[in-house]
Amino acid sequence: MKSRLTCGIVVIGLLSLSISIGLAGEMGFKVRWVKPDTQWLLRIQPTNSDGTLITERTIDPNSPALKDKKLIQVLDPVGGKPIEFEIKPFASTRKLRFIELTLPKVKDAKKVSITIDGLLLEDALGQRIAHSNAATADAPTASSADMGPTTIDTSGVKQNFLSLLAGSADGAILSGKVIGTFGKVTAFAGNDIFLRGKATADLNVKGSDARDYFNSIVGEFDAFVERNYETFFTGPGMGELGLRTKIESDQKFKTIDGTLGLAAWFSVKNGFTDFVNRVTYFSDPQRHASIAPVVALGYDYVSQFENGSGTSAPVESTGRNRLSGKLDWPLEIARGWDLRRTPLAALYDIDLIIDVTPIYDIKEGKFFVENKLSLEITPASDKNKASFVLTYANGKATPTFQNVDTILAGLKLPF
Amino acid sequence: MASRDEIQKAVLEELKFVPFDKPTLNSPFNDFWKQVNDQDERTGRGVRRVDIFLLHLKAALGPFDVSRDDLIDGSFAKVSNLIDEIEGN
Repeated sequence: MKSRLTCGIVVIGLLSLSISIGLAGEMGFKVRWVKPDTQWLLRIQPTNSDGTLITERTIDPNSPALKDKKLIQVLDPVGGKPIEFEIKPFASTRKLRFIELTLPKVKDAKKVSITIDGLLLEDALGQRIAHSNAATADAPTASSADMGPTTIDTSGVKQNFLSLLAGSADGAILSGKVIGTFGKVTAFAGNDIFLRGKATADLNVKGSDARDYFNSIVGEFDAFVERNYETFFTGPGMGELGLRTKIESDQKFKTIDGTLGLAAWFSVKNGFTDFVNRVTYFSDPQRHASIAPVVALGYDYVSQFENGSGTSAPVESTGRNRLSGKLDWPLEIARGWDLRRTPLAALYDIDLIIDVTPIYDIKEGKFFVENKLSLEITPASDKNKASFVLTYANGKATPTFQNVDTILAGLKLPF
Repeated sequence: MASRDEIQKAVLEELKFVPFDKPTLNSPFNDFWKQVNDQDERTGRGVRRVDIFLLHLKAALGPFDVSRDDLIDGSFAKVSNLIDEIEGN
């Protein structure tokens, strides 16, 4: 049963990826809304056939489309009506990476369809590049956070995902995360104070025993300040320091803890992890820039609201004071793994994600460590497509601290 | 508008705080911001480092036409390409 479920998930993933990726065949354009100042612009940039952006200057500034606006059409896909636009002025002395359109009568970004004729693309040798002429732009999620005198555009700031996994645990596993940042709310002593909410869940949704996987749902709300720092131990970085409150529950909501505490988020730049990052990377080193591990350290005061029984019962006694940490260390394994001649028909990236969450209970003097080691295979060209995930999960998670030791495989679906 | 030297100095200084492992003009750049952004998202960072990076640069150099998506999508193969873009070449 378990192996069938695993195979089923993988086959469905392969099929969906093949279908979605297989539709891409020729060079085209990525069109997206950008807001460099106060007005939304439509940016049109050439892409390879796999959807990756072409970063070289390829657009001929003498293209007919840039002299005669009628060769570009912007349409409202709902009513099919054309939308007026102006081509943003550009330097005509060099080829362009992209062109931008201003839409004076459109107040807010929305989904539009575009046809592009007469836009000439050339490679580095001056050879013409053929391309498709149809593209669409989706409306971004418009929001912003003020910080000091400038505004941070937080549109598109999200990585909500749901993982559907199966393996050595009994049944099917769901793992997911939703994050929302509410932006700056006030300032105190020269520091901007931000608010953030997030929720994570690790559940066994189909199986005889909920304790076959981390039986944990956590909702968190933070207020924090943002600061650049540079110390001997951590190197330079951009840190966050703040208050956090959490609700931790098992999946039946029978055991529920509430916490209130302090937390600091920072990166740890060091020669050892840089060396390991370089050693474990097998693709073109000219494309590789390793990143530092990130650590979150905190103190939490714990109130136990509910204590369940059966599968919801905590298996460890704990006190009211905890120190906690989180380590996130991503290792790039490969970039642009070419599977275009396989049914997957795309370039893939491979990453190994080391995720360690230790908790030290001060009263009991015990360490509880939750580890996840995940190999993620992700389509390089579209971050919105499903990834394949192989995860080794081990350790104990709040609030039940039941020990888990399992290997799972499945799909990670962004939303 | 800032000079190329000023832009270069500001970019390399700000990259140091992300932190960037090889802050030179020829350092590969196209994949870096995607990794950083993914890490920020996994760890629930409240304000993304890509936003802070652009915010500080724009505060130091004045407005320029580079967005978060440009960086995350890998529009600049090397650090020098970003400096070219800010300079307006």
